[in-house]
Amino acid sequence: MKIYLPIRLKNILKAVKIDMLYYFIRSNIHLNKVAITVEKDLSSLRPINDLLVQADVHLVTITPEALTKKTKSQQSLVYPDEERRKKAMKYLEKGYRGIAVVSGNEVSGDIWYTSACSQKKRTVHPDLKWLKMKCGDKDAYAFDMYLHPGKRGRNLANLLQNGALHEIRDRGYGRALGYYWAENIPALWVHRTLQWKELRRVKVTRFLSLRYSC
Amino acid sequence: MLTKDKIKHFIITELIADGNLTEFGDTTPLIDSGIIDSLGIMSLLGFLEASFSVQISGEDLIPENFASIASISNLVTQKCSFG
Repeated sequence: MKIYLPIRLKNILKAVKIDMLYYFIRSNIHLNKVAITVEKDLSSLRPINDLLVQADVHLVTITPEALTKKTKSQQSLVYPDEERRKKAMKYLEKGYRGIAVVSGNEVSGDIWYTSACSQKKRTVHPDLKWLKMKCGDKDAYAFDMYLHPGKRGRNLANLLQNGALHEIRDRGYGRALGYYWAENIPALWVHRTLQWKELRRVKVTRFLSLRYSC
Repeated sequence: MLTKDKIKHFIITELIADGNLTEFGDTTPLIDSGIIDSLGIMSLLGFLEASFSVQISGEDLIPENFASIASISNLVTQKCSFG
């Protein structure tokens, strides 16, 4: 037992490190990975309650106040994953808007969007450059949808994205833009079932912060 | 077991979480009801490819092909006949 426990721990740490390294390499280094750019006309959306009624969750707008309290018990939104909370804070500082799907006060997932109107420098989002997309005054760019691994299923991805589209429309936008990786079947499925229109396939080569697309 | 029955059995046992869907037929809508969500489609694809030796491409992944057991069965039959 004395020997077994340290070995187990060592193996777990090794597996976690390899997993993180693998994820880092996959996200930051790739050759001709295909992104599919999409748009959604916001005049026809699936009713928001269609999906909300089936799941015991609700949708909220993410605000800095909800995330900045010192302890988790004081926070009105609690991320199970601290890294994701930090990312959310970073996005809010950049002026991006976020929607979360919440169970109690725990965040099961979130999605972010931005637009030309909400960005001072008129560089709406760095993704748009390599995606070769233009975001007009009535457009919003939706990105980085995330569901906590332990909360996936129950159609939460569709629910969250549909909720975000409703909020974007309610803020006066007429069209949402986005993309997903062709190899990401769950993302492809969410976009197709919510009837996003596919625009073009962009081949993206990335080495850390350097990106080339065609 | 027929194609439809195999698919139906998989969906009932693997994709319907609470198992309390009383009426479940060949034309029950699977997407609108949330039975085939973004996780469900992954499991279903794995099952179809392993059980029927078919390759389902990205182009086949459209809601119309997975709307009901009947439409999934049609897709499998079509894929089988094209080898």
